[in-house]
Amino acid sequence: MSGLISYGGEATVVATRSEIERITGELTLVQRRLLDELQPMAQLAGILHHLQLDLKIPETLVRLGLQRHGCFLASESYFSGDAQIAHQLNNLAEALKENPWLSRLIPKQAWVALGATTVLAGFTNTNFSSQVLRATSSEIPKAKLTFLTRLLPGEIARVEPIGASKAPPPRSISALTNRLNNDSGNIRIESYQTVKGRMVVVYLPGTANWSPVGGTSAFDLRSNLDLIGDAQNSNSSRAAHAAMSAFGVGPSDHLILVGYSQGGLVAAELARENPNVIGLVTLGSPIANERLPHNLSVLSIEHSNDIVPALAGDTNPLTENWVTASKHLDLKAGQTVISAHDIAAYVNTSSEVDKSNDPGLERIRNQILGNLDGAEALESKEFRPLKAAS
Amino acid sequence: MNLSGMHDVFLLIDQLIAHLEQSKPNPTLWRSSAAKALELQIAGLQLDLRNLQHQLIHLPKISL
Repeated sequence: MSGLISYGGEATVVATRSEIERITGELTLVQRRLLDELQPMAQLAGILHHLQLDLKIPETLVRLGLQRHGCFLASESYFSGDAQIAHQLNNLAEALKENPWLSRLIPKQAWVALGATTVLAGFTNTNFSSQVLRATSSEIPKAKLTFLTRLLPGEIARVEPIGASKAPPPRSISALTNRLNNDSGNIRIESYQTVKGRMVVVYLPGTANWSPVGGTSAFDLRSNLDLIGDAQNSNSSRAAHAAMSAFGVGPSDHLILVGYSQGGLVAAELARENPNVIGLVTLGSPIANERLPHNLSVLSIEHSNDIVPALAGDTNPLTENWVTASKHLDLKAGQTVISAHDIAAYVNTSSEVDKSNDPGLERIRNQILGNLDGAEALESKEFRPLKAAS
Repeated sequence: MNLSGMHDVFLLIDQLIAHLEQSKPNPTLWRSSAAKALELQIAGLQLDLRNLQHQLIHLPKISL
């Protein structure tokens, strides 16, 4: 199992709290009948029947408890944890099924009351660092961030063309994301001829410079704060506009945007204002609060222990055309959580996204890549995003 | 427990399986990956209870 989970992107997601509560009630009744009716009968059965029932009833109670707890979680936080809940339900039930002895570790009297809660707590805490950050960052008023950016030097951005070439059309999500897997910090734009017309793919890099002052890249800390603080125009988005203009992106072009980290925020902003954007792929970007068009196909890839997507202070919404693929990145000894934000790690996770057969993920992936079916390469250019003063 | 007692156990297991059927999500009201996972888990529980019923039927009756 790869550990990749995803939610959203399903055309048919429906959830009502009353239905989840009804199911919880039914499962509770089954639990009670097992305890109050079947268990006493087991005491009266012959020795072999007694042993058989005594072996099965506790395990069944624990499994029912897990389902009830899953329903509770779904009811409480449906729109942020749907896939996680499904994943937990599957994993835990499988673990108990394959290792029934686990249930022996739980005191008999506590099976129903404590079983599910205790085990699930361990799972939900694996995402501790980014969850804490989500909790705290959601309390930072955006006005404060905007004020903070005013204190930093503001500059106008420009782009410097690097070169032109041709690139074969990307046929997978990992092929798309791999084109951001370099240290250049450049904006890359490719165009393809398709049956739908000219398709333009724009690749937007992450933050190149984490210092509030100095540096030449438009993708700097100030732009980050501008974007997160809801400022209308950051240097990085000005640079993206400039690059697209220099490439000759026109009103009849269809656009697919691919952004890593800050680049994902810029891409989301572009997608909000430009109806020609038909696909958006983000890697480790805090875009949970972006009001994206409902018909836009969005694929967000996040590592659950990456603190950058957590800067949004929220989890991505669960909608028909927005799928979030999330994975807890296993860190090696000596690696910090910063490693979970590494672009190369995101490209690896993208390969798992390509292999996933989750219906919602598959649907959005096909929508985005389908735009490039039968595409013929036209042109590919790179632009260095610079502050105007540099 | 006599034969009629075991019959009560089988009947109760039948009822529990039927009750679990009612616990499955109604797709008009809850349809998602989580609902599907829950449905599969409930179906697994039903199968296990049915297997338990069969095992109990075929176990030799030994009393101490």
